[in-house]
Amino acid sequence: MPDYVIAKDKAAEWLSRLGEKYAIYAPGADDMAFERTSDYASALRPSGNTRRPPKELFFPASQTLLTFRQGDEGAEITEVTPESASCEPRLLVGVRPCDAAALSLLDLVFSREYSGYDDPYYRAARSATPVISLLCAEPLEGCFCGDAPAVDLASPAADVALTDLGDRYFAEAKSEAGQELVAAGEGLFGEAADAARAARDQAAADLRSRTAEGLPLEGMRETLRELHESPVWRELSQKCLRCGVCSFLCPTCHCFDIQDEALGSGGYRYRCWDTCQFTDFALMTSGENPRRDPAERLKQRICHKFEYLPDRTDTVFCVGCGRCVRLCPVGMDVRETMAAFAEEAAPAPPKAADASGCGG
Amino acid sequence: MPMPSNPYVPSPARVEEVRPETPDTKTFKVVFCEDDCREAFAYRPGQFAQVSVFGVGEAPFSITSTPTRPGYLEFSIKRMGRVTCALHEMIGGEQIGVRGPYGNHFPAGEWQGKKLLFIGGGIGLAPLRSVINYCLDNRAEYGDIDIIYGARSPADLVFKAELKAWARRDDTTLHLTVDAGDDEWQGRVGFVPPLLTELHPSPAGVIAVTCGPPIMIRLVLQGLAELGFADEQIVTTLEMRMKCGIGKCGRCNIGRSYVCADGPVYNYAQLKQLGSEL
Repeated sequence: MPDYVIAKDKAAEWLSRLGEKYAIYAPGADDMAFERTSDYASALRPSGNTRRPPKELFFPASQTLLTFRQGDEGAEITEVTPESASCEPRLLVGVRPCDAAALSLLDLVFSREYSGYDDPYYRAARSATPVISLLCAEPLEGCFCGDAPAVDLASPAADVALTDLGDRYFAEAKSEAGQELVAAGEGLFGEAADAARAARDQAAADLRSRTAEGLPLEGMRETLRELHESPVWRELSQKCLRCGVCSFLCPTCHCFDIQDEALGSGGYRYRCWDTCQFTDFALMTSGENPRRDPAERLKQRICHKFEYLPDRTDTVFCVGCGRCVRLCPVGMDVRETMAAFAEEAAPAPPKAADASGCGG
Repeated sequence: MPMPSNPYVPSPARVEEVRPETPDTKTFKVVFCEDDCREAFAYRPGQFAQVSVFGVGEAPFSITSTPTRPGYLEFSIKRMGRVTCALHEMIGGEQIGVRGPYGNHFPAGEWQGKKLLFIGGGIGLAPLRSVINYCLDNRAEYGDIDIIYGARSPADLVFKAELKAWARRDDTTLHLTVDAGDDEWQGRVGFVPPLLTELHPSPAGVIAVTCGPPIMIRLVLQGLAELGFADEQIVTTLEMRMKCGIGKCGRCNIGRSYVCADGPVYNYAQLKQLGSEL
């Protein structure tokens, strides 16, 4: 597909045309979350990122699955939330490359190929919602997308990938939906010349060099496999408050709970985000809890992203957005966790005698 | 198999019969309200289903009936938490929800011509009962079948009528034990693992299938290894906390394996590879 450029002063006109077909969501003024907007001129902001990743637009923090009521012969389902409930035509604008990559990882999790079942709500929302990404002009403190193998800064996993080239945006249409988005801007776009492509590549390379810290995201898989019994889990987990912020704000965390809420003679069943950092996450009714120990829970979070899911999908489930680094109330830092295990793996032979303290 | 397009929606089903098994365990015979649901629910021994009591919640239960006896499902459920307590209040006729079947199954097809050794403890006989009856219903395909089963007390033995029927068969041997007897108990008293050691089965051509409380499983695995069973000859089925049942909600994993989607049936070699701490 050909690449395009659009002058910055024409981008608002493009979005306003798209706004006729789509509800447009862009980072809110306070950078808290993606919000519906008609302020097309400020939808494409060059810096910052939202505190809450855009995953909530596809996989809401809480979502009713069905309602029920007590009938004559016991409870019966009165309404199933239709897939189309998440099908309002929306357009996400200004998604960062890290978050665009995270959506493509969630696509894997919620697909049939992943576990034999398709998640109808996620799929419906995703297929109704094209994404326009924008390369960051400035990384935030704690960003390490340059080290994340899933993140392509030059050509992020979006329908249209925008890169700020100063007075214009480089626009790569990466899907059929992306082609249609560009087509809606007929007369506003020009074809990209090689020089523009080179400038785009340069911008991506610049950001990469500013966010790459040489963290071994890819290699963690092999490292961690050998270190499940390491005492480092306990050491690192000691300051964790189990608040769950790291996973609630993580653009790839997707664990959820399903609960019933009874209201009078009826009620509803909903699913809501959950986190492996909560003590009762894996607690069974029998009282057995395979992850009773905070060290086990940290291991679950880190290994799920860096070992188990890579084993399953061949992709590291961390996109280096840095939210868990910036927003952890006690300053736990996944970069330090990676470094600690890399160091643990590297020089000395395994300290078998110390491993017993790691719980089980 | 036709798959409902929304995997989170249970099909309506009715509790047809509630049979008390022990002071804290009942077996629920369940029939789908709609014929097409009944036909669509094609399960194999070892699989589980998510059972809903609307307003209380949903919980995963191993299917204890066998597909060789079609038309209904049975779940044997110990009273433990909210959903199980709500189920235990039922007397028959109540409407519930069932979705599934989920998970893998016992590879009974691969066991043709093998001798089978089932080792169960307590409510752990529930998932084994499905595959035991499946094999008994296809009896000619298997060699000797031995069943070792133990519970805390005679009153805690589940499926008492069926245990008697199994004991009466001349093509099957049942070895019962209880941790502590009572005035009427004339059988063996003792734990399951020492009974296994005492019976001293030869591992040649045998598949051992075990399920029970974690401590029993650990000791049985140890005992089987000492008897010379290879890891691939030892099969078990696991319990983990589950919500979705379809490999999405992320809590039931052991290493990279989701117990709901890739399990719950594993052989010991697979479990070791996953780094399971059994």
